[in-house]
Amino acid sequence: MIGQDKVKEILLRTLSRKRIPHALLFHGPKGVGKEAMALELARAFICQEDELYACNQCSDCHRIAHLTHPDVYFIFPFTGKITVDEEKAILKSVVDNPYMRSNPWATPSISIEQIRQLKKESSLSTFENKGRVVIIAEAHLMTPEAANSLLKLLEEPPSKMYLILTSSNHMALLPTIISRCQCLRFDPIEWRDIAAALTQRASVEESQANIIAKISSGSYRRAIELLDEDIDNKRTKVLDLLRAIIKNDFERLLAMEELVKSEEKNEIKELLNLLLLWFRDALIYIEGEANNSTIINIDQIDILDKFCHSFETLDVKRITDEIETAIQLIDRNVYINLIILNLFYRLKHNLRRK
Amino acid sequence: MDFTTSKNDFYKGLQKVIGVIPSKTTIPILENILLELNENTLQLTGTDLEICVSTELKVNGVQNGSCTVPAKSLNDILRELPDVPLKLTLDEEGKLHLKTEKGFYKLMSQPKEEFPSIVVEESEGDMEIDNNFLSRMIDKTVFAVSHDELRPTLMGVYFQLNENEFRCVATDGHRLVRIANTAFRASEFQKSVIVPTKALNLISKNLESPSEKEDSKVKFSIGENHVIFRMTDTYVYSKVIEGQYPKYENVIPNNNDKKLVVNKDELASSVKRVSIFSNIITHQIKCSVEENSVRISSEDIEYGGEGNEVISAKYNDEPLDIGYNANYILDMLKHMDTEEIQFLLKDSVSAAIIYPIAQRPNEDLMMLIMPIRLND
Repeated sequence: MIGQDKVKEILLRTLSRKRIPHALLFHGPKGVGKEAMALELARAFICQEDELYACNQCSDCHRIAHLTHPDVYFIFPFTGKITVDEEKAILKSVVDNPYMRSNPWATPSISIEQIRQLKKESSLSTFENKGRVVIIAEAHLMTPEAANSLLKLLEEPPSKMYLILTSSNHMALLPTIISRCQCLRFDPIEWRDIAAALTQRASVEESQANIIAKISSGSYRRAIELLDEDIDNKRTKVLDLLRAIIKNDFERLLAMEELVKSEEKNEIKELLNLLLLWFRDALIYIEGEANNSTIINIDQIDILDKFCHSFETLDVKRITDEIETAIQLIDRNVYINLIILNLFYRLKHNLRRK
Repeated sequence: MDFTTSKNDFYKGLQKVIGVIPSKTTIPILENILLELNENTLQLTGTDLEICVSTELKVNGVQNGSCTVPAKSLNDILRELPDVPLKLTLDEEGKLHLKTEKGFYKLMSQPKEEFPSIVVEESEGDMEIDNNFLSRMIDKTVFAVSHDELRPTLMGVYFQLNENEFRCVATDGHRLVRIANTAFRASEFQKSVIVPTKALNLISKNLESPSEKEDSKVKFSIGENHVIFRMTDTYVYSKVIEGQYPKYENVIPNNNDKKLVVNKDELASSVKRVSIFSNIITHQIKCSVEENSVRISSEDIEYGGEGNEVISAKYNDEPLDIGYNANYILDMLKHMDTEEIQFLLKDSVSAAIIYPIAQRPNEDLMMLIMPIRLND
């Protein structure tokens, strides 16, 4: 498990007291390890070798990690009908990396059929009599019928059955579901933990790992996705953009507008997030706290130095407010070109040279 | 793992297990069959996570070991081979080599650790029951099991072991069958369990195989979360249905005093003919019981069809009109062995009890059917 020390501590305490709640709800942002923790917990429940932890060596641990254990069910949202091969592919993606789950559907949901199947399974006894664990990923995507149908099972599951629901948007769950579960909040992971995981698991170079970890805003899934993207190129783009704003270079700004047309909403948001990080670095630099662990864009420290010295006063607070407003507006589906032009204008206003 | 055997022996063993192995599943290992060699005994195991079937056969073992291989490939190649000696060895890369005089085949194998493990102990509570009797009890009850997933406890046959009898009960809420073996002695304990139909069908199929000896016995035991049926070289392990079986005794009336005796085949063929004209959804037929006769009639209001027959019977009580679902009646008649059967009736809205005219030795068979309310 990457990070999540607080959650680990709580779970270990319940395990050691042997007071395991029969229904748990893990909620928190995407990619912080809710499903990974659920699988780990399933192993700790079922593994007979050790009281608290999974031994990771016995056949049970091995099979749970491969999602081939007869008494561990993994339920995930999808759209329409799913073939056995598709289901296999999804399960494999979870097995390969529990922080990720491939999701080829635009608007997936958990149907009442899936819950009925689960209820049918749970009316039979366990296969190996060591207890069984049901993991319902992204439980807020249950249709209202499915959620209501789950209530009975959630309230009084058969003996030795534990249900773990995970959700990245738990406010969308029915209150009747939430009230039947013990809730555990997952916070974004510390960047140091992500960086360490990236160097160990994905064998990324440390400097690169640090930058990606910081940019990933606490989501390991995001960090892995960032590995495949040309993050350096994007950071250069952000700097270009800043230069254009400062130099009053309208041609280049217009070129940016072209970019808005060609890029997706999420890409634009990402560029703005990178811009935010740049100003965060600038603030730290101005305050004289700059060192390897505080500055994200540590490889661009020279440019940062020049940047910070070109302005008499730099009202970072105001600038970041402007950028954050822009990001919020994008989320609310305001016309992107307008947001961007407006933002450029305001940034220009705030960035006056000596 | 290293052993030699003949194709026919191996193939015969495989056939006992292959039926349970699912062809399409999200857990790929379930498509495999587990081979375990211990000295001269080879054990073949397959499961679909509800039922597990395992069979033993004698081979010439060279080196102990275990592995799992795709059941379909193994079955396909064995089917195509003539009855020749086979040599099977597991190499270090985890491939199972199957050698014949003419050539060899390699099957990819996966380690045993991936395969679902079940722990089967030779528990002391093993009970023995006559092969024929078990198969008879399954046959008499399994047809009446419910298919309604909202009431899972009714989706299996209730096995009830009392001090001096062994009972099987099945019901779907409209009809009920109870059969008891009164020669059974289960000393010192009382147990009950609900066995899913899937396992029962599999067992009765295995019992019927002609190679079994006529008087052979089945051992069975009830565990905390499973039930095991052991035949001579094969055992069937099944999950059980968890939950409380309804108190069925409460629905069996004991004050049905009107006795009707009819010829089973005569009644069955009449019902069959008349039901052709019954409503296709309710299959409702009306039985008008009068002195020494039963009039069976049906009416399809939608299409205007009608059926009407009178058969002779032994009855001397007040006349009654009772509605039944024809399919339920036919199902029950099919599972009665005596030439004549007797109905115990009370009135047109109460359950009817059906007995064979004479019980077999050490057996007590009873069926119950709920009437349909006639709306006239």
